[in-house]
Amino acid sequence: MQINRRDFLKKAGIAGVSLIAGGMLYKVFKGDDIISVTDQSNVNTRWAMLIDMKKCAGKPDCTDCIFACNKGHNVPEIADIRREIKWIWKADFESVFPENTNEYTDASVRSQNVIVACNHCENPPCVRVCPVGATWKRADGIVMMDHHRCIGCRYCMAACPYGSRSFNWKDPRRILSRNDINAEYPVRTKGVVEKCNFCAERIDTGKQPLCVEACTERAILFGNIADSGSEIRRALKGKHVLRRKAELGTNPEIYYLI
Amino acid sequence: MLEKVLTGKKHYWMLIGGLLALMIPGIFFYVKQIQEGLAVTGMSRDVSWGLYISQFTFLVGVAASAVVVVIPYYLHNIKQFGRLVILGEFLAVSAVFMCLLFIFADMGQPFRILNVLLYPSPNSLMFWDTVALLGYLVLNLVIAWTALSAEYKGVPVPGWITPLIYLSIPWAISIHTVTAFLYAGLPGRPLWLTSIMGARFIASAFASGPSLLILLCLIVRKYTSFDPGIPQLKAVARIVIYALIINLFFIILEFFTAYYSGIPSHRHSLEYLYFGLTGNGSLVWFMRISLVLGVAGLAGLLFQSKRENTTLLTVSLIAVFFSVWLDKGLGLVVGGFIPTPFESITEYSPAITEIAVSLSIFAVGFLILTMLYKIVITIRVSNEG
Amino acid sequence: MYDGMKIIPGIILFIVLVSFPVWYDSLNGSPELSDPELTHGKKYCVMPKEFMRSNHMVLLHEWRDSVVRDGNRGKVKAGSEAYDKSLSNSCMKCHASKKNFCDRCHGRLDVNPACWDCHNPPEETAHAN
Repeated sequence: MQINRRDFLKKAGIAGVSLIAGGMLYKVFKGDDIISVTDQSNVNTRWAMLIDMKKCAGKPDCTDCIFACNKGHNVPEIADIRREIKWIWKADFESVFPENTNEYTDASVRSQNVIVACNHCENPPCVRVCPVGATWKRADGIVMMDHHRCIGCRYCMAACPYGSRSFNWKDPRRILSRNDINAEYPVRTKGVVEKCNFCAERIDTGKQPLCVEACTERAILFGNIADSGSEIRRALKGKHVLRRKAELGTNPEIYYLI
Repeated sequence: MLEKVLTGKKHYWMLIGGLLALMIPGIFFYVKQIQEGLAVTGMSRDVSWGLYISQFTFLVGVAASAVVVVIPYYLHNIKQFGRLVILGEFLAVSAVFMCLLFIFADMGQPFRILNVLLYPSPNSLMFWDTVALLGYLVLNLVIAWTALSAEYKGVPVPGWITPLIYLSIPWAISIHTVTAFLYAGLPGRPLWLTSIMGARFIASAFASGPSLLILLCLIVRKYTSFDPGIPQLKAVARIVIYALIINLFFIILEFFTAYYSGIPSHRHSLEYLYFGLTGNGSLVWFMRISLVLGVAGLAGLLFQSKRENTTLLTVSLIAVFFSVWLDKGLGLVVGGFIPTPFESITEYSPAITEIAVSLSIFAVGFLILTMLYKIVITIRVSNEG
Repeated sequence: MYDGMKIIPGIILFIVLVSFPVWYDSLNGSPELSDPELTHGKKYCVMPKEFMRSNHMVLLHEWRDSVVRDGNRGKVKAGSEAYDKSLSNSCMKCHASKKNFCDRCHGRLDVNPACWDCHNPPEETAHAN
């Protein structure tokens, strides 16, 4: 059989493309990292947070939870709002709950600081859009980030309705001073997205999140909302609570007690 | 056929040299961006996509619009489009190539790009967009190259290419629909959360892409001895008119829904883009100029159809092209991020890095286009001569 | 063959250049790659020395995936002790100098793993330097 260079190149090209396409198809169908919309009704663990805004408002200048988180997770403090990295922070009531503010809302309520972080949605848009599975939802509901895999496309930032995600516009090591770094927890590299992880590294070893532990007012309650006997469920009983933009169907797991 | 790229007259080499020169500054700025991170761009935590993704979005439209010459020629057997088809397909090839480069330029970790293939995630529209774009690139390259080879050798186009041509038609529509879906499926961005996004993308693409194709053909006609034919170009211009009218109609629809329903979140982004919101409005004049250019371009196109000379046609097409570019290649992406989820406003303007890198990518695209067109023109001229 | 006078020398030149590291080393003798420094009194690693030499990166990737992606933070046995699956918090506690442990080989082989972009190396003590 005679085969000339042209045909060989053509066939090699076709074979190469089919091999890559076949590999991708196999991965897609094997469904390794694909999130599936599972029935949430018989889940045993759903981590959730209840923030008592009254207790929090008692100390308007307090930043204990934010400080503990930043320190523990090596979150750099950046003054330029365009480059900021935030895991947990404060915003005024009016901008956190615009739909719950009206003309007659007291100025004190309007400007009251509310603690915000990633809501660890039950139905997270960020997870839906990630092209590489670098952000995904664990079985216990925590929306995780794999900074090793993130390609920095920032699609998740466009998808998040809560502005909970931050991008490392530059190398955070250039901002963090060596003495401030908690050596036990990694920093991030430039070009990846990050956000609150509900302290997965602590929860997995039976500890409470850093912000919860740091709050002297005990304004943040953390627990398993799927367990009807849990403290958070008892605290929720008979109370009217708010969740951010609940109408979007994301089912946020941070509840606010007003 | 490739060897045709290596010979040419002075004009050709000047164009090649000019495009290569245009690439140089962007390369330096890109190296800087790799070293420093995306902090060298104008993007921010709040406006996390900017010029790069905007250009990507716009150029997917240009790529998809090749179908405007493919459908009449292959489906309706209108022979006069035969002189344009390969030019349209090669424009698509270079546009898709630029799209891929813009995505690459925007990535925070570009060296991890293969993760997209290693961890394919069908739940992400980005995955489907990658598949659609790569597939479209291959389809157009294979179809145009095969047809051109046949023309070169003076033999009929092989039959196996026909199913690929038919496949390329829905594929063209799908690349731009999927690109619209990138935006239209996000819950927290009311400007993008509109079901006519896909339709509007295709309308604006069919206005801007063919405009560019006609302009390129007019340049080819002026500087080479190949004439794509004025009646053919005017026929494509009619398609531009329809698409442009539909696009302007869709803009009215967007305004109606946002303003008549009175839902603040749906109104805010449009208000920011066209009127300014709480004193912020760095895009207001661009968006207004876009509207004016769109309407003026439409009027120009309607009036030129009876005229012999091509000046009004040229000017109108330039107006249409830039109208859509300002709207889709600037306002649409940035506007979606403003106001932020906290109802605050962070404005965006591209940094010099983004402008230089974008120019570089355009230079690469037009270099590819120039070389592909050179092959087509050389073959046609020698066949006809 | 056309242009044989150009092609054959070209191929030879190519092979000579590509095999540069091989013949350069065989002519000059490759420098001794001294054992990486261990600054601890422990007897057991989580895996035998031979395995770690060639496969430490595989092990680290497995740990990474198991901890980050599967949330599996169980400990790993080594002799009578148990360690977290962690580069900074386990490996580097025994092999306490990045300079004298990691970099010695990596530098020689010119590999630049991205580990240290994010993970924190132990502080280099005066002794280690």
